[in-house]
Order: sequence, then structure tokens, then C-alpha cells
Amino acid sequence: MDRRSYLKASGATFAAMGVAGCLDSFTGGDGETITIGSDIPYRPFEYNTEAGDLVGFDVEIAEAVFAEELDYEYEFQSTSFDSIIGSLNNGNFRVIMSAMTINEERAEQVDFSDPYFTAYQTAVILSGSDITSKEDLRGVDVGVQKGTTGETAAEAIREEFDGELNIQSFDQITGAFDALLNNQVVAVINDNTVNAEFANQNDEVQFLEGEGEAADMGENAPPYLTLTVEEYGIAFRQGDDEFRQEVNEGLAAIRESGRYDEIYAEYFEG
Amino acid sequence: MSDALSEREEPTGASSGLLANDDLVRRIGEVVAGLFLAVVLGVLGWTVFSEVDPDLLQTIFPRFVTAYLLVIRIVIVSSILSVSAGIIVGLARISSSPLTSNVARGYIEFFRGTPLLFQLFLIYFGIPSLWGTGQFPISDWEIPAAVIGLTLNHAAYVGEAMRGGINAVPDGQMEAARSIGMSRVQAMREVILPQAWRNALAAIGNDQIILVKDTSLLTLISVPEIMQVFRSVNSATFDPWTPLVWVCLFYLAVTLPMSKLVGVLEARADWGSDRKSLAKRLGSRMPGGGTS
Amino acid sequence: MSKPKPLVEFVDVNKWFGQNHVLKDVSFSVDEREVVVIIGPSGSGKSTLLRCTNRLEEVQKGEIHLDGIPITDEDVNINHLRQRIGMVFQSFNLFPHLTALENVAAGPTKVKGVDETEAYEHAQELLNRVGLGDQGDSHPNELSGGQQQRVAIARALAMEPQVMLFDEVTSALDPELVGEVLDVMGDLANEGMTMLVVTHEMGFAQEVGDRIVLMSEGEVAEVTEADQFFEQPRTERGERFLSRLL
Repeated sequence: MDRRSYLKASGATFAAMGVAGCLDSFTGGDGETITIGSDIPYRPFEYNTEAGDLVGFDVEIAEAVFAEELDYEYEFQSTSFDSIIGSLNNGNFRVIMSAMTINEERAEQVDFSDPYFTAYQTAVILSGSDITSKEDLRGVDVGVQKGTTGETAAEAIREEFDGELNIQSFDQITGAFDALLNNQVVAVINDNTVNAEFANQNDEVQFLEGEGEAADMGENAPPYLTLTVEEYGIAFRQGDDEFRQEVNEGLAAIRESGRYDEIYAEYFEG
Repeated sequence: MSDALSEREEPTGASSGLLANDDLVRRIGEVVAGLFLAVVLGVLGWTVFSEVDPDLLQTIFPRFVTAYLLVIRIVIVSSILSVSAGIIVGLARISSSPLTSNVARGYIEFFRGTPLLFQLFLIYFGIPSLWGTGQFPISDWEIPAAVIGLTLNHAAYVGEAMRGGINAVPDGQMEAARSIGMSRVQAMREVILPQAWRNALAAIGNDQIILVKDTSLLTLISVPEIMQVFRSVNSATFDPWTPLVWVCLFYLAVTLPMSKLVGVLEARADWGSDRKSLAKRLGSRMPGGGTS
Repeated sequence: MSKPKPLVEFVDVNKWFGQNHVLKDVSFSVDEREVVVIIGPSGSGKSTLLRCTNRLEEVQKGEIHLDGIPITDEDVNINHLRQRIGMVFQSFNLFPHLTALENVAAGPTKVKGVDETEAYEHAQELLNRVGLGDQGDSHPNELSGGQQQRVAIARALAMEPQVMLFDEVTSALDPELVGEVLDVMGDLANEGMTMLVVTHEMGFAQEVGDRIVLMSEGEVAEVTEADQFFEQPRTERGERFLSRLL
């Protein structure tokens, strides 16, 4: 399934490159359904229940902002994460809501909404593992998801270690998690809330402890090691400014109304 | 004489239509082919010229070389294993024992009938999960998993190709071999299989080239092969065209030599063809020496 | 001259293909050094009988003996037995991936385990004998039909069989190539080989054959000395058969 959606996305990418300029106003807008590109599953932000219903923090925020505040119809479209920006720019969907971190490189390709979530890059390991600090990661295999800031964080560590780190990149974060359980990687570097879900569901998985960026930046640092402090944003094509403004207003509105806190509490109590 | 012919009237009716004239059809074909070529070269040329970043091209080249060498190693091992296994599968398939032949048939139906991707996932993600958490003993499992998956999958196709090749050998060959006292196994080894191999060679070669392209699926079990490098470069630089150039060239750098190899094997299996007999008559002859 | 003993014996041989009764109570024998020619209309069971003789087909009732051994027995080692029976086929069946020389040497080297040099020397001699001494390096598809068939005869002879079976060996040949093959068979007969020949070549039957077995509808219609048969068959069916030829 993943490969197919990847191929679909890439196929559209390459075929449409030649007429890229004409595609700005191709999808969505003006009362039409807003398609939201997202890498599903990425629990707890977007994932399917056993019954097949799409749920998650991003999904609820989308419901609150697009449907409740702005009165749009919306639908999520599953796509692979590492090609998601290219897909957005080719008009495959209107926005990206995929627990996507705002950073400079991405901001060169897309415009972001105001931040709507704070996250940290963290590492999870197996309990009973002899990894106790970042330094212990020297020379081991770590798992990440392709195209994520988790991958970037791992690459930064590899540079720090002069190349003594083997990074295995997976299509979906679930692959990296499986690799941890299957003893293929020693740690998975990924967003804290997603790692937390995985650790909660799995007795033998725990966070790598330590102080890190969060503590350095004086934030309310969690007990586990934080490699970065990041903020998520909704991604728009450059030039889709009017719509982006609308959405920013919607985001502000749900914070004011308390709806944001409601949703937050639902997924991240304590 | 040509005058007399041209004085005849053109035939009318159904047999004369736009497509009845051989020369015209040929010329139309050439125009279409030429147009196609021009469009493809034009679009490709313009795209490469305008989209490809020569600096990036150079920077990412070493990563592609590393990936290419890995793919070559995987292909060589998987190819040898899958063809060998495939011959065994093919022989099992035509066995006179119902148990053997049905087990082989089940094997072929499964590995041919389910997607390779599914099989790779089964091996890479599924098998280690049978051990407890963190207990799976092999730590760099993705490469062995890749080779196992590719081998098992393609052995099924090679097996079927061999079965076809064996069936295409005339019954009289087995009869003649048995008549000089060979056992069935001997006859298979000395007489039937060499001919079956030759019959199956084109199909097997075809399948092995597909094996090369199947390595592109290995990105999904995090093998750092060619597609993996492409995706990594693309997601970091948002530039698909530049790395695509290398993807295309490096895959061709595997498949084209492979085609050549198949061609060489086919020529070697071409017993006593006109080409060969001419060469023989012109060259020296070694009595008792085999040429096949 | 020693009294000839029967080398091949057919004793009440019966065979069915499904419901089809293709061989009915066939009984006769072939003596050592004898050339028995089996003739008859198409579908009379001639080829089937020959193929039963080296067990390419199985007999359901009755027995076939080779040199006293019942070859139709279940626990007989058929591979060993076939080394003593040479067979030449209508469609030659030469091994296309081997040269003529290799075809002839295949049996001795692979089955009997004869030393290669010896086997190849012997093979060369046999090719000389059938008139193809200079074609040893040719592959079958470089040879004419008549040449291929002669190589096939050499291949069968290489195993030094006690009896040679010929299954319509000239039927697939162009007329001008038939003679060279029949000549080789004639030479073989003169050298004393025991031969069981199924053929439509009446000239050969008359000149080289010692006895004629006429088969019709799966039965042995007549077994007669060759000269006698072609002068005057002893049965009505024999007469009818002969008259249709003339």
C-alpha cells in the first residue's frame, strides 16, 4: 500500500513537473473539499482504529479548524512522508497535516501555518539494553523514518560521532519500531509523543533518559533525553496565502475557545 | 516490363485501403517512430537541461556508487541461488512422485501468486517477531532477508521456466537415452536437462532481469540500495530530476550487462548452428572435444 | 555350424491401450544371428511390439524373454537389460547438444563407465563402419537424415548389444537417403547381428530378412521364411497383403 501511494505520488510529480506553474489553483478552495496529505499511521497524530475509523490529534484539530471554525469539508489522504512536500507542490492535496516540523529547509519549499504543537526528538530503547546515554549510541544501529526530522537528528549525531552511527531508514515509523523489537536497531529516534505511545503499548520499550535540548532551552524538560525542540505546522503551497491566513485565524480561534485544550487533554493527559 | 505493370489499373475494393499498401504503412511507422523519438528526446533533453543540477549530480554520485555496488552483490548472489533452486523446483515439479510434484506446485503457486513485497515483509518483519522482543539473533537481517526473499520468489519462476523447458524436449530423447541403458536420473542429467536449459534460457534470462528491478522494493525493508538513495536525496533537496539521472543510469548499468550475459549463454547453447558450423569448417577441429 | 538358439522369445504377449487390445497372443522367436522382419498394415501393432521388447511399453499379459531371461519380470534391472538391446528409432533421436562422436560414445562412457580414450576410439571406429568417419565433430542438425540415422545405428552398436531393434528407421527419410541406411543394416546382418526389423521396405525384407512375421490387427498372421513368403505366402492374409503391394 505504501509503495503504491508512493508511486502514485511520484508518478504525479514527474508527469506534472512540466506544467507545475498551472497547478496552483487546481485542487481545493472555494467551498470544495480540502484534501489533507498525511503519512498514516503516525500514532497518536493520525491513525486508524481497528474498526477502520481515522482518528488522532491532527485529525481532531482538522475537524476543529476546517469543519467547525471555517465550515469546510475535508478529507485526509494517505501518502508517504518522504515525498509529501513534493506531492503538495504538485497539487495532490491542499495542505499537509502530518505532525510536520517547521524548519528552514522545508520553509523554502512551503509556507507553514502558526505552530500548533511542540515536540522533541527522543530515543526509545529496549529495557535491559546497555544504552544509558547518547554517547552509548556510538557505533550502533538506530532506526528512523525517511524524511523526518528524526532522521536529521540521527544524522547530526552521526556527524558528532565522526560517522560512527549506522542509520536505518524506514518508510513508516512502524517499520522502525518493528526493527527495534526484532533486534535490528538498538534505538529509534523519533518525536516524543509518538515514541511515548509505542513505549506505553510495549512493556519492553522505554525512553533513553538524560538531559538535552529541552533542559538547555529552559523548557519544562521531560525526564527523557531530548535531542531537539520542534514545533509542528500545517504546510501550504507558497502563494496560497489567503487560505493560510484563514487557517491561522481558525487555529487562534480554537485556542481561545478552549477547544484546543480539550483535544490536547484527550490525547496527552499528563 | 515496369511500364507494362504501371499501366495496369489500381485494384479497387476492400483489398485497397490505406493499410493495404506495404510501403505506405512502413513509412507511417517510421514517421510515428521518428516523432516519438523526437518528442522523448526533446522533452528529456529540455528537462535534463533545465532541471538537473550538475553540482548536486556530482555530490550525490558516490552515494549512488555505493548503493550500486550493494545491488550488484545482492543480484549476483540472489541470481545464482534462485536459478539453482529453480532448477531443483522444476525437477521436483515434474517428478513422478505425487508428493514431490504437489509440494513443488504449492511452492510455485505461493511464491508466484503473492507479491514479492509481501514476501519480503514476511521475512524481514515477520520471522524475527517469532523470537521474543529483542531476541532475534541476527542483527543485520535486511540483507539476508533480501537475498532469501528474492531467491525464494524467483526460484518459483525459474522452476516454471525449467518445467516448460523440460516439457519442450521431445519424448524421443528420453526414450533414446533409456534405450542405451541410462537410468532416468542419468538421462535427465546427460540428455534432458542440457536441452531443457537451452529451451528455458530466454525465459530465465527475462526473469533474472526482473530480479534486478525487484531490488528496488528493498528500500521498503531499509536496504540502502539505489531507490533508497534517490528518496533520501529527494526528500532532503526536493529535487527529483537530478538523482533520477543516476537512478536510471545505474539500473541500466546492471540490466544491460545482464542482458549481454544471457545473450552469451544463448549463443553457447546454440549447438551446431550455421554460424558455428561455418566457423568450425574454417577453423581447426579437435576430435572428441565437446563444444557444448 | 552350431544349432541356433532363440535369443528373443515372445510368449503369448498381450497388450491393451485402455480398452484397445493392440497385441493379441503374439508368439514367435528370433534366433541368434537371425534377421526377422516384421511387416503388416498400419496399426497392426508392429511398432508397439518392438517397443515392448525393450520395455518402452509394458506388456499386460504374457512374457518376453531375452537369452532366457524374462525381461517382462518386475524385479529385473531394466537399465542393465537395455544395454544388451540396441534400438534405432524412426525419428533418429540423436542428442542434439552432442557431436556425432559424443553421441556414439555417450553410452559406453556414461553408462558402462568405459575409459574415455578407449570409448572415443571405439566410437570413431563405429562411425567409420557406417561411413561417417569424417563427421565425428558435426552436430546432428548439421547432418542429413540418412547420416543422422547411421549415427544412430552406430550409437546403438556402441553398447555391443546382443540384438538390434529397428523401428521403421527409413520411414522418415527422403527416398534418396534410404539406400545408405539399408546398406548399413545389410552389412550388419552379414556380420551376424541378431536383428528385429519393423519396416515397409519390402526389397530389404526379401533380400536381407531370414524370416517374415506378418502382423495384422494385433495378431501374428503368418511367420514364414522370407524367400518363401515373397514367392507364395502361406496364408490368405499374407496373400492379400502382398497383392496390395504389387
